[in-house]
Amino acid sequence: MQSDTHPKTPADWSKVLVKVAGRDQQAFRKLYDHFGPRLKSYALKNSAGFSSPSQFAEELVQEVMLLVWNKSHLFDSNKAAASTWIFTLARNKRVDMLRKNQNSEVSLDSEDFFPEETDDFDHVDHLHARQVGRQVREALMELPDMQRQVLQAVYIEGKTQQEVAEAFGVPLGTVKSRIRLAMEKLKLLHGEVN
Amino acid sequence: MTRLHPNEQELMAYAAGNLSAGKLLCIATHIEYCEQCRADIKRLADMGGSFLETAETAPLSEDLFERIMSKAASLPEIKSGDQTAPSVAETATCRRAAGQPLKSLIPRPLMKLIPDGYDALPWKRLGKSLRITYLPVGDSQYEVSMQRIAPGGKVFEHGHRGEEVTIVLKGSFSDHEGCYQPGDFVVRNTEDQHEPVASSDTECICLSLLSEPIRFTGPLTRLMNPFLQVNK
Repeated sequence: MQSDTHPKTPADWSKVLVKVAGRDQQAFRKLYDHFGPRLKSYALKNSAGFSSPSQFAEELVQEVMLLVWNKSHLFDSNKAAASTWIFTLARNKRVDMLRKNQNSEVSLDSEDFFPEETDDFDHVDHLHARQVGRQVREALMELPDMQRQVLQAVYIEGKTQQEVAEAFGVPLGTVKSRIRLAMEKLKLLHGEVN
Repeated sequence: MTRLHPNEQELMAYAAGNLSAGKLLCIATHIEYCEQCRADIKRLADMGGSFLETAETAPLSEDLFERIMSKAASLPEIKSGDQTAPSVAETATCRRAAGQPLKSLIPRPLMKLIPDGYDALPWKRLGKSLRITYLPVGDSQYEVSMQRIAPGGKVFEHGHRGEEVTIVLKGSFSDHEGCYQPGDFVVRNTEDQHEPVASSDTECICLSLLSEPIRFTGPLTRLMNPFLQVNK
């Protein structure tokens, strides 16, 4: 049976997600088993502003998986990898939960802060989008451990460069140069992206 | 030197959702105009996806999946898109799809705050050619406001105690360092003093983010400083 093979590549996960859109509960379970524990660790690492990190983390997993179930028909494997799509759902949900937690009186939410994802651009170059996704993944894998760890601490854990310097016991300048080098390799330094 | 884009750290923090509401809103607004930063954000989202893919795992409660499934069953089936604020979101998307120049529109991130157009905002007049209004963003760190400068109008010379980011939404303005067009993300720091002037043919509307109140530095205009308190 097909479902016995465990998905490995981003393309495999995209196929699983497309099955979820077809209301395939087994595919959803597979996605949950894979991404659920990873979403939880992401949430635990970036839980500033929540009084109970573990409660927040499971709530985030629940909310994101519900979105995956309910919005999987909006996923377009031509535009992004499944992991990228799920990451943006998680990021948006975390921002919304944080704002709700702060009792913000204004109704601004992640749809206002990140409108791009909810939009359908017909002129998006799909082949280009997939190539970029692959390039970024490969560049990230090839980074020296120290650069990747620093990048991850800033990006995933939301640490300031100063906090990263303290956590790793290195000077602030070292953190800055590691981030710069990493971003250069990811073609994220301004003026280099085309 | 004046920067016209968020720097890579700001873009990274935006893409990761690690900024306060005011900054998220300002960078989101800039991105509406800037294809280059949009491309960077896409790359950064891919980076987030890769990090998620390779993340460590944390054990989940055993009954979590069942709880999710029972909750999923109780939710109404969603057929297409989101139902939140359909009118606003739809108008923006439709107008954009119709190929109208983005410059003539209120940027999508600001549509909830400016539902009825710039004219309907409660502008406060500060001198002959400057009007200002605060946007209730719900940010404890930054004050978000809008400025409207009449064609050819001058904003008196002022300095900044904190960080100031200005994004041109309509028209253009210039100061001693350059001329700024819609979408430009103009960053000013503590030491800078400047005297912006709107272009002569059209009014200039800007969004701005301020960590501390602006100070007018001219001999007379200094009297207006109390009106510019950051109201939190």
